[in-house]
Amino acid sequence: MRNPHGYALWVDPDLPRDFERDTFTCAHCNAINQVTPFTTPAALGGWCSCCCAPICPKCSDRFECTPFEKKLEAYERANRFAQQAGLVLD
Amino acid sequence: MGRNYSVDVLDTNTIDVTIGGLTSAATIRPRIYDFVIGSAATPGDQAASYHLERYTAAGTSTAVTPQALDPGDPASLLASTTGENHSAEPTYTAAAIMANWTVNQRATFRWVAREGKEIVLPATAANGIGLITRVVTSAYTVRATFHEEE
Repeated sequence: MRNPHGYALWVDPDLPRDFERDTFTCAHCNAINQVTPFTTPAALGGWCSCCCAPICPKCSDRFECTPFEKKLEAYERANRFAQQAGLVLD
Repeated sequence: MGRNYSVDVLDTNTIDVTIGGLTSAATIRPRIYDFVIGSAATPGDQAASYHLERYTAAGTSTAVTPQALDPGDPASLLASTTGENHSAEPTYTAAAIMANWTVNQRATFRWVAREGKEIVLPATAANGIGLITRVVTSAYTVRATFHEEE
């Protein structure tokens, strides 16, 4: 993968050599996904043309663009409000 | 650049039991950028599937003190509920699986994120990321290390 977001490595004495995989981080849910070599981009999930970033299969099926950063800010804001109001949020 | 800390957790990888968890606080937004897991138990041909999942309540665990990678840094601001060997499970968010790795007992696994592509914890008290075993052929002791930036 060009410009991978991460790198995963398995060092297993039973394997002839180390097992490696590139990873990408979903721009919508922050999940880490393995990249299988020579797979098609569609099989990995998809590409969000709104935020110009790769997304995982689950987020790809939702047909909406809510960047993870935006979700995080909304979640933190809701929790701050709940705390100030004396409510408890899950 | 933020401050970097190491959190080392140790537990038996019993199915659906948390091995360790990192709990955030309202003042920080920690980012996990490095994760290593392996076993020092007598080598056996067992396999396990580990998840990193989000939780909204930390449960009960043996506290672990995050260690600063730079000895000049102050103590970590992660909550004191950051710990290992859970006796009460955290409250996991359904389907919030941040990563899923299958590792043989003989193997050591490492994942490293590029800058800006880390697993991010919200700046919300009691929220965090737990390392939990979801599948195991036969339980054994594992040790995992997280590196996080806050």
